[in-house]
Amino acid sequence: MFQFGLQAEAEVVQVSASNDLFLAKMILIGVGLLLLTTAILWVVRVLLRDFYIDKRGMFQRATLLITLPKFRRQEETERGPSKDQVTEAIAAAETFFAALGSMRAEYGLKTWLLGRSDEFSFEIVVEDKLIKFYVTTPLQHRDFMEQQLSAAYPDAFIEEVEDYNLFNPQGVTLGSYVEFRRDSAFPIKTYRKLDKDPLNSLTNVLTKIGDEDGAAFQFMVRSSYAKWRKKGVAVAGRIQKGMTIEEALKGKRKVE
Amino acid sequence: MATDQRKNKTEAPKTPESFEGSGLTPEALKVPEAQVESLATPETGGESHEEQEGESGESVQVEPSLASIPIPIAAPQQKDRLEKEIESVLEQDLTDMYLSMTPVQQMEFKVKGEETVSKIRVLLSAGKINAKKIFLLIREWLKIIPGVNKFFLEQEAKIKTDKILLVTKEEQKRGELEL
Repeated sequence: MFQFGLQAEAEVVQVSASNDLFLAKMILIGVGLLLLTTAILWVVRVLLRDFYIDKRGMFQRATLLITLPKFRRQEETERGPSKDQVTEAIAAAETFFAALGSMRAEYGLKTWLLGRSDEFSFEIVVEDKLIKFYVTTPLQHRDFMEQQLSAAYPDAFIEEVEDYNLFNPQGVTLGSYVEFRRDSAFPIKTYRKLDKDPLNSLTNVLTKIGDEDGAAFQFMVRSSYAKWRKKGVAVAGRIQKGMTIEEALKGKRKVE
Repeated sequence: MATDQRKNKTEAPKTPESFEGSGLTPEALKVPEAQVESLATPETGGESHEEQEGESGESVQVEPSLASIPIPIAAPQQKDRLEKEIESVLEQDLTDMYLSMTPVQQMEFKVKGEETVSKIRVLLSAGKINAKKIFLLIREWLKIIPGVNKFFLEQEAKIKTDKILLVTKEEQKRGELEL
């Protein structure tokens, strides 16, 4: 046996096996540590978000009451605004929201850990039989919001007010979300294709709210990342290249 | 427990009400601050009142006079005003609900409310104001109201916290101006 060097060969095999085992152990430890670190980071993230979202979402905000004249021109008082006038008035809103959309979305490690705080809230509220328009803005964007509002609606009166309580202490609260039926890459029907002012249908519903009841429409708005915007452009491009809608949304052709 | 310890530390300057038990009259407390300081400092012999040598040379133990007790006067007045403002903020828009409660519930609501005011005052006297803690205290207190809507409660607590923070800011500004 020794003469043929069998033992030496066997030793070589043993060393190789132990090396493999060591490597496997190191990989396992590495993966375990990575998983543990990720889990700890996620727990820290959840706890921090819970603390900071409450704090920043509730207290570091300003509530603005926007008052607008019902009629801008003398002739509107007699026969209401024409379609062009309505379109012109809503076009101001388009410019306004485009300005909000062009804001740089918060990003980075701090945002990942604490969450975003650059949301704006636009509310149409029935309070004491009156329909009011509120905008809630983060304190750091308050001046920007006021400037944009004044630019879009020069005849609007903007004042900072205390937050309001719409809820009835002994009442029941019902709420619902509105979401797109199709993917957000698809266009929505805009004011350009509407014959009447769409705000009228909302305010008409609100006027029917009783004395003791309250209702509100709330639009939460924030700027999005470039990735989200690019998706729509990419889908449109794929459709132009001859893909079906399903294929364009998935980003690849069906294999037959 | 930690809150209680902080409370004890911050409540060191007594308010006129807290002197009732010691038999001191509010008039007696109105000692000019400059005079109090001058009596209390060791340079002017403030501590010598405790032990004076009589004419006969005997060491006579003399009780500390009222003037020798260092009583900060301006600070408690400011705190009292702040406390009253916190109370008025907490009371706002709750009259109807308070009247609709049973006497037992009213008593419980009142006691817990006073407790909440004192806790908020302690929080406000700390260096950094924690709005969320104030909010949670108010929310816990409002939960006593029977059958109250959860959303109403949250929003009411938020509004009251906002007002308290505003009142505190104003009070701090006023304090800086007085200085």
